[in-house]
Amino acid sequence: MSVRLVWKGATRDPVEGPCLRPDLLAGLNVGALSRLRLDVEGQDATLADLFHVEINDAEAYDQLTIEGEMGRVRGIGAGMASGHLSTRGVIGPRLGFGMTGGTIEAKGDVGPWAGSMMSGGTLRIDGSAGDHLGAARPGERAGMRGGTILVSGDAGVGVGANMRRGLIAVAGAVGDDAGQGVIAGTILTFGPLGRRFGAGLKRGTIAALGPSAPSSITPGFGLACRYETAMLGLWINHLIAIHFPIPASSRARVVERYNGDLLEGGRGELLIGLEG
Amino acid sequence: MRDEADNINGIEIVDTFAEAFPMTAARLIITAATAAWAETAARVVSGYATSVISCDAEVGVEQALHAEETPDGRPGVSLLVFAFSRDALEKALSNRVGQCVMTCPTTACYSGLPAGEKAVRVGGRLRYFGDGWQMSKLIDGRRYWRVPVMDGEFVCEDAFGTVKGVAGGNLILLGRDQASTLAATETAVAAMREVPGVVLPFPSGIARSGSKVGSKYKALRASTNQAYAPSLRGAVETAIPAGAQCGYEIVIDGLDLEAVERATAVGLDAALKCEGLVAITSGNYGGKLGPYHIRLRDLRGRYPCR
Repeated sequence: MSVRLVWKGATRDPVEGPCLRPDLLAGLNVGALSRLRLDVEGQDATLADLFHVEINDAEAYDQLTIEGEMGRVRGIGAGMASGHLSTRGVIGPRLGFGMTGGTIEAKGDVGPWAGSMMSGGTLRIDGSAGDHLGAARPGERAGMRGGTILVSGDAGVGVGANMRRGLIAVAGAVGDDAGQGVIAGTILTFGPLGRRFGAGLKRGTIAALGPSAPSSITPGFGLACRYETAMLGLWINHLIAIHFPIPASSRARVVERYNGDLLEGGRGELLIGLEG
Repeated sequence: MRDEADNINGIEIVDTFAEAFPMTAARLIITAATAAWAETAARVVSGYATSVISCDAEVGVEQALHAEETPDGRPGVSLLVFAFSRDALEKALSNRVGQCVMTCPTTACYSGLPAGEKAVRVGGRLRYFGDGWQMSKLIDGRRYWRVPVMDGEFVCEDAFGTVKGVAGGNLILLGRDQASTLAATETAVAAMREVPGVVLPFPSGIARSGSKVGSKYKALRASTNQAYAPSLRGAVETAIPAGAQCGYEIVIDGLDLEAVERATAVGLDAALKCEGLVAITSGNYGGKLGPYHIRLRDLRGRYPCR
């Protein structure tokens, strides 16, 4: 079953949308779908109050398409475990929050905390992401625990904070404080990278592979060497295979490696791409 | 009565079969900064790996790979490795990759077969060389170990997939003299190397010391096959036809029976166009050793060559 929801724009109040996930809607008929309850600023509303509901293609399964400018709809795809969710238009905070599987493809900009606390699946954003992409929820020791986040545009501050496992790739610019407190995992950036990236890095990798090197290296990191690593080729080839838009100027093989954060044991690495 | 189709260009295709047997196989992909270094690593890792009679594995180069064909976008070489069991294969791979690939400048090593339940650990064993400084990365479900070394880091995949391959396919070329028989065998080998999924583990693909199982000496698992030693003609029952003075064997190991059969057919066809051969035959053990019987006279019909 394939479900298509089109935002009516009936409210300007924040809407909580965690039920908007393909694995929860699978198997429901139009009537049951229309009666689903959503929270609108503390008030109950039905799905039909907020969306035009269509069921297409009886053969397809676990596919949900949501269209419209939904900058105030929060938590779409949160906790999703399987299936395929496509969105068209601006999406509010917490897209794919805590997702464990499946694929989300967002065409348009998305709000803060997208992919936060996710542990599996793929979140592909064909647009820009807000702050705290793939970051830990405040108070959580570990954030993202697995899965892949791909952003073709820019990302805000605090990308991947306290990440423990997984891959985040951003084709555009990344804001300040990326990868703070990362425990393990990989963050690959291909545009300008903000300040203080990798502060508190325990293990894991933050790679700045854009055409221009970051203006400064975060204190707590020491230059190890300049070298060629097969690892970079593995990442790049993987990203090409999954159609991530790597800028041609960013396919460097030579990196400068900085080890750190030395205050946290120095087992993490910053890789700064250089023209090969 | 002999069919004309079994005597081509004056070369007899003996009515016999090659007897092949199952072995556990893995495919290695070695990459390096240059094709030359990948080739060096491949040559070293496939050294002393002709026969499991006395080697830990049978290894051969399958093909050179362009940069766009390898996991890390660098030039590479694929090799096939065969051993009697998964445990033996794991040990042989770990030793060989550890001593011959990790040591070789700029190289990295990956599995050329999907992992899965029957995988053996290679990078997962070699990582300890990093003495605690190794780190791993998971990409698309495959784990890669990064071991710090003097020119940067050695990247090696954690687990290598295995399949039940087919080993011991063979062709024996018998000719009028050493030079023409060797030239014909070289021609056959060159053609067979174009077949994917097989390797020819002997020196440049050719063995001159055809063997039989066992020996009069208890310590030996194999010994010379006197029936194919021309110098013993008259002293023993010989398998060498009149007019032949020399023989060479091509041993074929492959990822499946079809690949071994196809390579045998290609080699047979190439050899039949050569001057100086008297007969082409295959070694077998009366069907007692292996379940795969590759009948030479059937092959040309099943795998027609251009």
